[in-house]
Amino acid sequence: MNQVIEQIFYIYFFISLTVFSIGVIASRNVIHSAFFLLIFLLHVAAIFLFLNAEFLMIIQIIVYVGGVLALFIFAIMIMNIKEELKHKRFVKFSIAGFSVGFLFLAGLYIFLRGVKSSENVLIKSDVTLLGKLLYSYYFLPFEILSLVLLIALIGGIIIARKTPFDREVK
Amino acid sequence: MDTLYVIAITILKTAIYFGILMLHVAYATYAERKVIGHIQLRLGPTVVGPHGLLQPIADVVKLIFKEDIIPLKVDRVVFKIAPLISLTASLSTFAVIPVDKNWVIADINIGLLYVIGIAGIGTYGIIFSGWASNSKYAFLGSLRSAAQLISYEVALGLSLVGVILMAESFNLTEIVNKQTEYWYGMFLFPQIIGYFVFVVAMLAETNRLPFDLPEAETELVAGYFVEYSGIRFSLFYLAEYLAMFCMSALATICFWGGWTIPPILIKILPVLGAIPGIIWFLLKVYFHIFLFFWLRGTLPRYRYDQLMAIGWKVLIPIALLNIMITSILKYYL
Repeated sequence: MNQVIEQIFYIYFFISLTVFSIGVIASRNVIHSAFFLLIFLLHVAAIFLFLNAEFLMIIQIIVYVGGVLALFIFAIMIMNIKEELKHKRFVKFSIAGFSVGFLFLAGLYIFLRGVKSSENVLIKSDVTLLGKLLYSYYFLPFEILSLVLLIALIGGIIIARKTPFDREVK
Repeated sequence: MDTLYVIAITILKTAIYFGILMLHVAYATYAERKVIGHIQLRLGPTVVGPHGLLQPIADVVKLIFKEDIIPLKVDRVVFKIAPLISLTASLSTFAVIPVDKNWVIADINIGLLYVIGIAGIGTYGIIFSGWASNSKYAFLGSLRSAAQLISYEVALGLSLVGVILMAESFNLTEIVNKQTEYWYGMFLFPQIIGYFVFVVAMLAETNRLPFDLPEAETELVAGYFVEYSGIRFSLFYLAEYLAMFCMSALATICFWGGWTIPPILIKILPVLGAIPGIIWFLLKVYFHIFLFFWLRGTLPRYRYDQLMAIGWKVLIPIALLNIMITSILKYYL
């Protein structure tokens, strides 16, 4: 009973993920693309939930849905993007796109061919475990990543600090 | 069979919660008009029923039977979906909020993060409605709102980190249980800075006065939902009031000890221990709801640049300072 329900949900999620990701690149209206992306990201979060990774699910929602996509839409609404909409859809790049996609899929297949799934890796309270691991075993990568983020933050502030007038004077 | 039983119980619980919430929202509008009325030396609604008590029901009936007008040049699909996004987001937050010992629909480990994350989805209802309306006022309102919500979400999240540090858990039930271990029974006293930041950020997150710039009546008519009418308008209204209740419940759980009362009070007056927890919980939530109305009746609206300055230059540094102080005390005590 449980297995069947889970299978049905997985099939639903993978079909809808494909449909929505096509919707993101195929719709001509940028806000419609953002709308599809919103539903897509929520579905990804739901898949995390089905894999018993509730912490990853909520981080996915907070970071991507609450932060990244909101800023995307904010930027889209302020910018003037009428020029881009007049172009034909990017059909001439389709061959390049398909070949890159095929290469990526093939690489993924070669990588994941020998993987065996082991169940019940995560213990129940995975947040505590995650915190302990981040500050002991993965301490160095964690600190390096935070440094990279800090550099990106300072870079963003420095770029944004110049007013358009300053740039023209240069 | 076991799964079906659990699903049926959950649906029943959800239906009961939903009914109680709707009743609360309906009478919150009535309470708001009464409170604001008395603050401004008026009487508020008095005509429908004794003391105007049936006014919310009359309002609901009116809104449901009104014509649902869809303007000509709107993006029809997005225009119709937008209010539903707001409403779903604010309703979903109540799934993890415990109102009494073991009275919760889903007792998940990451309850606090869930509330913050799901509440953030509500922004999209506002952004999409403003864009789909194809109207200058609605567009400006939604832009303001998007910027405001993104900025204040940071302050809101950071103000709760102190609570998480003290409780050592994201689970809302455990946060409440941890507070009863102290003699004062509330995180309000050690986390008073966090509470201050939380209350200000809570007002901004729910678009209430003094931070109601997305809907500023005097400048933008009504902001993002100016083109909406009838039932869709009321869905936005519902989402706003539900968000108010959600934030009040969060403040109650994280800072006021949820359904418990301070152990020292029970020691002085043992009778208080006999009162069921849900009554304490509701009283604390009603106090916060009253706080919303009280501030609305008292304070004028902030200017937009002042709003952003308060968010980024005052609240976030204070919240970060609070985290530092809390972690230092936690480490050495």
